[in-house]
Amino acid sequence: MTHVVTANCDQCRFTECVTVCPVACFRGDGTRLYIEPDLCVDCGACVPICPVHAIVDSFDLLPDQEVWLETNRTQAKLLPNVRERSTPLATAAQRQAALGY
Amino acid sequence: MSVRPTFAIVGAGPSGFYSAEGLLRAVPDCEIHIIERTATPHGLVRYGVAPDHQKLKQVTAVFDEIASGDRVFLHAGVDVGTDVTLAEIRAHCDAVVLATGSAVGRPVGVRGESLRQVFTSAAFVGWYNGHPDHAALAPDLAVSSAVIVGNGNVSLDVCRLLVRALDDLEVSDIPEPMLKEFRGRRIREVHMLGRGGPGGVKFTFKEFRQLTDLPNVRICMPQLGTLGDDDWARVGGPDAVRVVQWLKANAMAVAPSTDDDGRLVVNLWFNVVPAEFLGEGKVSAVIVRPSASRERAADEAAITIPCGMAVSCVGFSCKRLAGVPAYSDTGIIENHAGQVLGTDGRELAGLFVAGWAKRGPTGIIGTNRADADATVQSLLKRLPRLLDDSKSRSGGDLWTLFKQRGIRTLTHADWRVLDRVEKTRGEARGKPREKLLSIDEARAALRAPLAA
Repeated sequence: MTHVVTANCDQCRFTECVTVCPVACFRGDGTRLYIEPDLCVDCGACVPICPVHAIVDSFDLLPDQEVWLETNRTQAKLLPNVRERSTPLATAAQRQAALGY
Repeated sequence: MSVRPTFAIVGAGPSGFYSAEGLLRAVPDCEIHIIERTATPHGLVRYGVAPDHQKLKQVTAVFDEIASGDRVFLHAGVDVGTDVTLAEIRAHCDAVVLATGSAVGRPVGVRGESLRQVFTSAAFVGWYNGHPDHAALAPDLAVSSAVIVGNGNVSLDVCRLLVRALDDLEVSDIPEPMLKEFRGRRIREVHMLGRGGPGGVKFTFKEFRQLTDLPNVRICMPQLGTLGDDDWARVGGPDAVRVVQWLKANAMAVAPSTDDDGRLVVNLWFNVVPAEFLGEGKVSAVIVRPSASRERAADEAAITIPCGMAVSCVGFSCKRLAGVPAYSDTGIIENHAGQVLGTDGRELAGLFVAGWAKRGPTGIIGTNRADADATVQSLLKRLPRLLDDSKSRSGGDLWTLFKQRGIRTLTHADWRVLDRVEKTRGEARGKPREKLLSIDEARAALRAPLAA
């Protein structure tokens, strides 16, 4: 069990999640974030705070989202820790509206 | 003589550590003293998070990392308000952050609550987690029926612990003396009393699912046939939506039934509040009446539910601390964005608050990180003036103060030893740790770590 950052983070990168993660398990590059599954303690604090509902408990993943489990695991191993909130991407507002949030 | 900025944080729980983390990052040359009442750090993660939620307890690794810096000092075993006053702590520091939580269980406020076997969640959860304040609670679990008042995650934790298979509890970190009581458990049914309807539940679906997943437990809704559409209609947040979906999807399974299939039964009651606990000396039943949320309340009679124990999980409030000027009606320390306010609404220079003492008992562990950060931001805004004002600080350091009072504090290095001792003791029993239950046990373990 873990939590994963899914497709909705693309073009958004709101980073609200990192402010509430008790174990600082978010990793990322300039485009989006991932969760390091070996650090995540499944507290779920990041789920309701994401403006675009990008973070999902692995238990609740839809079949077409399952791929994000492996993507989070592999990318998190390669990328640096993201601990502080930063400005969302320029495309974030548009993407949020497109997603219906 | 220039002194480096010195901060004290009262309370070594999540919001205390996250306040320390924020201050360390923002004020590179500062010194931080975390003062803790009990013998050990980690606060509610050690004493509040359920003993079968070990993964969540791994968050303590982050706290230990924060505390391991050479500018952070843990002083455990110091009760601010008893051993030293808050005023004294403030006189020794540039700013103080109160991260003292909400340690006091809120009573329901009905007759019979002082009967034996009626507990607040603070006491009962504290007991099974080995909190030194509650280790002597001695509840009798050899009863067939238990009542839980409240519909939040604390209620579900208590419920799950009461019904969960013993094999699962044996590998949790419930301390041995408490586990012994669980081994003698005779509970056949638990009644959870919710003030609102099914859509008004305050617990998360994730926590609810852990209960429904237990193979030895059957969820039942005694009022299933009598709840009207309006009872189902008022749905709170997204978690309540999923709980309602689950209950509807499992309507057949949760319907009242007289068949005994051997499983323990958890009865979910809705739109009810306890009116009175009955019993001679100890509780034997609870009378519940329709809550105000029920429109047809007037037609409905009170129900008597027999029970051998009851736990009220209806909230917490702060333990009063001398030197804190004002508490709100809801039991939190009056503050503006973490800056503590006086009775006149004016700021108390250098006194801040974070976590549950600041916002009330809401949210989950991670919520305290953002919360503590907001308090740190408030503090930083005022820091230049605070440093200016305290150029004339009375001097002396906290070590000297504690020494003068004859208080022997436990350090974070001591905790590292105790942590190893507890884990070693646990390993022998197949448990993550066997907790030391008092400051005396902790001191004994420090004198002879291997003998423990």
